[in-house]
Amino acid sequence: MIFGTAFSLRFALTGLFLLTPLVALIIVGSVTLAVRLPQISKENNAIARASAAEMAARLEEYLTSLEDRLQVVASGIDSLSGINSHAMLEAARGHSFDAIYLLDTGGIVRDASVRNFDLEFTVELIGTDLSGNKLFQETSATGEKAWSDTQLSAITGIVMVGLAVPVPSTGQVIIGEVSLEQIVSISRFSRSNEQLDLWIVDRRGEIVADTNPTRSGRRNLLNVPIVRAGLNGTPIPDEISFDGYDYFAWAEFSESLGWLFVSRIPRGMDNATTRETVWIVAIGFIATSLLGVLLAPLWAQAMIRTISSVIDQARMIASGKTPEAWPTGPIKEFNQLSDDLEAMANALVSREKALKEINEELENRVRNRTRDLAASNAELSQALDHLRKTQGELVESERLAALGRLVAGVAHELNTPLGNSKLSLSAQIHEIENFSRLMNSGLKKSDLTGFVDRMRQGTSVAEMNVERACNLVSSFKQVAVDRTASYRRVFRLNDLISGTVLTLQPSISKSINVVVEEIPAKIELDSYPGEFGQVITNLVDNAVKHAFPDGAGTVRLTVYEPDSKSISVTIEDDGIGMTEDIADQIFNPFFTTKFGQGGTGLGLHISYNAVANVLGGTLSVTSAPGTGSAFKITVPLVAPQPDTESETVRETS
Amino acid sequence: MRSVKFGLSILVSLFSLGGCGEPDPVRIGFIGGLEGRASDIGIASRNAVQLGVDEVNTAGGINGRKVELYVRDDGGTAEGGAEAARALVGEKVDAIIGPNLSVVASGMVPVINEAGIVSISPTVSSLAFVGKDDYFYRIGSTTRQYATAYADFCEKAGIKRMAMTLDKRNAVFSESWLAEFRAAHEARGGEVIAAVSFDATVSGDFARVTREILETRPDALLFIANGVDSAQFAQQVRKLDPDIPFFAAEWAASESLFELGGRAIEGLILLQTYDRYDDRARYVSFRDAYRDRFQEDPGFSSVAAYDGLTALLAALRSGNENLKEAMDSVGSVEGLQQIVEFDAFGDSERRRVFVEARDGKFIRK
Repeated sequence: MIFGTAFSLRFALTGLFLLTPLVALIIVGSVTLAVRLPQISKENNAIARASAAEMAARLEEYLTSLEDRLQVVASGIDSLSGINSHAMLEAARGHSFDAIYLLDTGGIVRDASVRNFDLEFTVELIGTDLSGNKLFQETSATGEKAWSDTQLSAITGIVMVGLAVPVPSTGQVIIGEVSLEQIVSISRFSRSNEQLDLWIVDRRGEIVADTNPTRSGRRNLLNVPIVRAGLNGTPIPDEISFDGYDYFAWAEFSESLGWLFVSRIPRGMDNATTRETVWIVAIGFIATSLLGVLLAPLWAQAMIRTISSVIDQARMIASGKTPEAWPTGPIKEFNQLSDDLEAMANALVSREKALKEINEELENRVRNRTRDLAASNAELSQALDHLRKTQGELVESERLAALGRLVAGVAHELNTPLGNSKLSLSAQIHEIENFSRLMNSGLKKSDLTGFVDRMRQGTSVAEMNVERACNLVSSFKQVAVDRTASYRRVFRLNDLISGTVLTLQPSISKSINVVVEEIPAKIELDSYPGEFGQVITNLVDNAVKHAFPDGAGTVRLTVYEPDSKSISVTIEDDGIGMTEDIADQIFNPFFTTKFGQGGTGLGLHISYNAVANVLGGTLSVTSAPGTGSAFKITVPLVAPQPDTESETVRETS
Repeated sequence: MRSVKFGLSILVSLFSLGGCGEPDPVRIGFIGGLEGRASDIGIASRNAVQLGVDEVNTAGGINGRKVELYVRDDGGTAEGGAEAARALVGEKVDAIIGPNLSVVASGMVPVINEAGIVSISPTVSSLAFVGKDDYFYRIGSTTRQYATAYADFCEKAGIKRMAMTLDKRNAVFSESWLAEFRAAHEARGGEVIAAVSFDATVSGDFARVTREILETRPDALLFIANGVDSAQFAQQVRKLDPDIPFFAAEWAASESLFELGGRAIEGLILLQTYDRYDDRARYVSFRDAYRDRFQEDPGFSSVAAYDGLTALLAALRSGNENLKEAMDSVGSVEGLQQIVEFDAFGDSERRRVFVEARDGKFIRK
């Protein structure tokens, strides 16, 4: 898998529908902002510059009109009488001035007109000494009209700006006071751009007018860089920061008024145009995102409806159910896919049907075969049982045959002593008849002693041979008992092997030597002497019968103790040996190389079973052609306790 | 390509409105009369505070924090004071310098006490604000001390029969002042034979009141009024009686008095809370900086406001978040001309110097 995680089609489609317009919008928005923001900057800078100059010009124009008005008064007032001159001041004051007063050369108020104050107060003012007024002092000294900085009016008690115009003919001075409110309202009125604001600042940095009082309020602005630059005539910065806000700004100094006009337009996000632009981009972004979030899943849903239905159908087919009607939707390719899958599904269904039929047929066939097999299996079992039975019978007959051979051997062995005894007895009978005759014919002393000697000799021989026959019978009795029934007892190995070999001797050709190496007398086994003897018999018998086709050789029995709990007996011959494949089969039942010549093929099998199952040991053979064979029995000194099963095996074998 | 990057960076910055690393500024509010009849002392106070704030910022601020100044006009009324105080509370100022007038303080003090904002007035002296353990601190003595000083002066000059004018619009100050003066003056064998309230906004009041008090034939006149009104009274008095001695309460002692009163105020005696002729380096360097910046001399309200700011800055520098505690434990602060030391109620005293207006100058008496 190339991707770590697989996404659902709906997720992928939704993501695609969401991301594509957003990425597009981000690029378009960025480009818009990148292009538009510097433009806005430039435009605002231009507006700030133009407005500062324009505002200065307008206010100058307005204030010049006020100057003209006072000039008119100044040129005409000396020719008028008191009442008329007061009326002229009233008329000149109009709505523009808060107060107009005429000061004589000593700075004493000679006439006045004050807004909202009645004549009584005006009368009260006359005679007031305003010689300390800076504007009066300046105009008296220069004879020129002048505008003041903001100052506290001694007449109205508010902060205002004053205009002083000299009366040339008399040296008097006319002062008009214009309230800051008036100037602000004029400035505000002539504002060209609603984002644009204006400070009018006097030479001391005091605010004459502020069209939009800032957060920090009525501060002295002399330390604001643009104000200092404007008043000092140094280069004016076109951007300022004030009160934590950024502005595009410009400053124009009005020589005639002595005031600085500082225009300012909010910069950055405080600027309406910038804000609008950014908002349009942001709203576009948000709206697209929202629409995307709302519509993309629906559209994706609509698109994948066909395919998810197709998937469901496919799943139904996969789980073996019959599919419903195949869907069609708005997407051509999906419909094509649906159609193709339907065709494929139909093909699958018919193929499955064919397969099912073949399958059923196969099953039938298997069933028949199974039945046949069961029948032949029963036959085979029967045959096997039969064979087992036959095998058991054969084993039994083999045992009986062995017993027969044993009996024959014993009979043969008894023959000699009994014959000897008979011969001796016959000789004695003959002696006795001779002696009787001699007694009748005269007995000599030498005849008597000779008779006694010969009788003694004859009885001795007879006794010796009868003794031997007794011994033979006694040992045969033990062997016979051991062989006819399987029982356990403690026996001496030496006795067992010697007895067994003894019983075998008569049936073995004289040219074959059976040598029993010295067996330690102390070796005693708690085991089954019958089986043990049978095994020895079979192995020696086997060697004698098969190893020496020329009828001469040696069979050697050796006993040793591999450890304290077991003994080994090897029966080796120096005969022709066996090939490996014969050695491998030699313990199998009915295996014989002398079939038809009297070999049953069971001797070694029985021996093997007896060692393995009864004596609890092992029987092995090593042999090679030409080097002779060696059978090795290894059995424990104490045979294992028989369990029921091995008991059964022994009974049957 | 650069513009695209620029645009992208703007978009990115739009969506990550992170704050900048600068610490919050210290916001100091100022409340005073900046446009009306008492704007002479108001502007003089504001100028001193603005000068002080600029000096602090040039020197790196308070413990690295810049100081921002928010200035509000009080309209010379209690309501104006309350409104200005509320506006400054809205701007989240840490402390306020101001106001100058007792009447303004009467509207402002409840607001700042409720908001828990330490305020230091340079000039308010009415007993109404004395001896209270609240957020309102005062630079300067009380009306009792000032009025008693005037009474002492009168006693030495042998002036017995006094006629007074009182500003009705700042009654909380002027009436307190009158009561204290009356008590002190009478205790010294003097007499207040007339005390007439006036309202400067009523046409003709100056002439009427002047006539009224002159009719009582007093030994001297005393105007409990601001600079503009005192000048107006001086004008009216001199039109009717060129010789009668007159006094103005310390409130009127602004630098604009000569401009306002011309020759009419010649001989006007008043008390100032600082020595304009002080030549100690500390004051001289302040005065020169002030002159350089505002092209006029500092007034008594400038000196007091500057001292108030000095005390406030000391408290702010202490680092104690609780500014009132910091103010209470700031101890004595070296002002421009004197040690400023607040008592348990946040009140302090000013030095007192009597001057006489002569030839366009205040001459020390």
